[in-house]
Amino acid sequence: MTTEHRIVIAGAGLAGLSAAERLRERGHTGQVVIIGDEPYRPYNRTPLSKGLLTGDVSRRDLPLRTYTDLDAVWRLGTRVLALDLERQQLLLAGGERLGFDGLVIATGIEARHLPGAPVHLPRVRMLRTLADADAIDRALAKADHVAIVGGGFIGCEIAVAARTRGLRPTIIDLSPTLLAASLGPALGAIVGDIHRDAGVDLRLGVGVQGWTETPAGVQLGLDSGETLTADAAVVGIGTHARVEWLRGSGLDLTDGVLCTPTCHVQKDGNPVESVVAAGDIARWPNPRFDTTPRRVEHWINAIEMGQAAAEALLAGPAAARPFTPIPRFWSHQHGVRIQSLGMPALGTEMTILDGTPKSRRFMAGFTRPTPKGSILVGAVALDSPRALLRHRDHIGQVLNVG
Amino acid sequence: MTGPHNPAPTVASAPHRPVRISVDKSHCQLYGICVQEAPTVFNLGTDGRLHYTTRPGAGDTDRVRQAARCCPTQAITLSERRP
Repeated sequence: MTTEHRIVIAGAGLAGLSAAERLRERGHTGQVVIIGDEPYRPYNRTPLSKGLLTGDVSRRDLPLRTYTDLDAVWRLGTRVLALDLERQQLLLAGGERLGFDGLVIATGIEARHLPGAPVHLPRVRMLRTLADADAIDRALAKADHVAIVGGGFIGCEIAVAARTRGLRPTIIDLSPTLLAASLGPALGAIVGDIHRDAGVDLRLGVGVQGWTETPAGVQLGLDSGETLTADAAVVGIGTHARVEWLRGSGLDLTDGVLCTPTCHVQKDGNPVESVVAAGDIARWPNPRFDTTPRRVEHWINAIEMGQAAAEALLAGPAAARPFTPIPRFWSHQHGVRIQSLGMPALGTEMTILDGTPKSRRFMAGFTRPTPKGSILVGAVALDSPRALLRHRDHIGQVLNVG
Repeated sequence: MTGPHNPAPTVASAPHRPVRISVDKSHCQLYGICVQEAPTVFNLGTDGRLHYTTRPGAGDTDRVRQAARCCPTQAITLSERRP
């Protein structure tokens, strides 16, 4: 029976790989088919905005390791075009129909386009794939002044890489602070100071109105009336879940794929027992915080959710456990380690729990009021990994200060 | 149509072999994620350094593998060793 029992994983990124490994670890002996549209086996994307652009990480270091034999059928360079839930089939490029007994949806995200940005130019780029990183690397090699549109993590990390290469980066963002969505305005302002001190030019609270191609690069018209001339530009303004192939399947595709707490996708309000989703594309409610479904675009979440989704697929919706992680991410900016635990964005108040912001070595707790008291929903640490370790188990609990 | 969890018999996963750990200190940035994953094996000292057991018991292998997977700089290398 078992070779006929096929689990297909749509998406050959970290979430898909983690799902495949967990299927084998839990004893799935049937076929595992992994479909990816890039020509590579799963690789680590985190260095694409960091070490790969500075030379600290080489391409040889990118492939992701597993500790269990996956014995998988790899269908790389292959696009999935559609899902037929009724027949349990995927439609692949070329018209091939691939049946499945179980499906893991892990096609992730792509970089969101900024209307008007001429990304067809070799010197105007967005970042998602290794090919994108190579193109940015080539553009930076010929650049001095680099315009970075978007002050989120991708934009900030590319600014760091540009400074490391001795270039002059300018970050432009509509928000008045960097990393506003992830860290909030107070910490975003501190990160802004760190960037300014490192020689990054910041134009915050302004948008880009127009782009003009020049022989040597581009000119960006800002809505402040100012014009910036740059040799290269990188646009990193957010992401877009790759759900196009799921249109018409009957799944809820509002900002990703809606899942139950057990990672099963839903149709007509009921879990689909043969289909789970994991990683950046999955929107699910994490009962540790509340009942609102959200996507979490963190690297470690792709690992943990890939594993949880695989277990849920094998267990079925009734027996599977809810996926209730404490989300975690990190970033390294001009020598300062920024780490986050939980969901700081859900907090309504911020309290310094360790160190001092002035020293740039501190931890801030984010809380929100509940009838039980003030609940710690997230924490952000700058160069304070030990403080973060002490508070990890307090996420989701009433905060006792002092 | 049956779901994926019904027909396929699963085999009990084989007990893990113990591993030998090495950490590339030139890549490690001391985020402490490994300490979160495997606190009995990894420790961030008050001296600001990472301390770890190079030859943890077989019972730690699952957690150590997760530490290696989640390491932000992929600085942890595991090799199997005989029990």
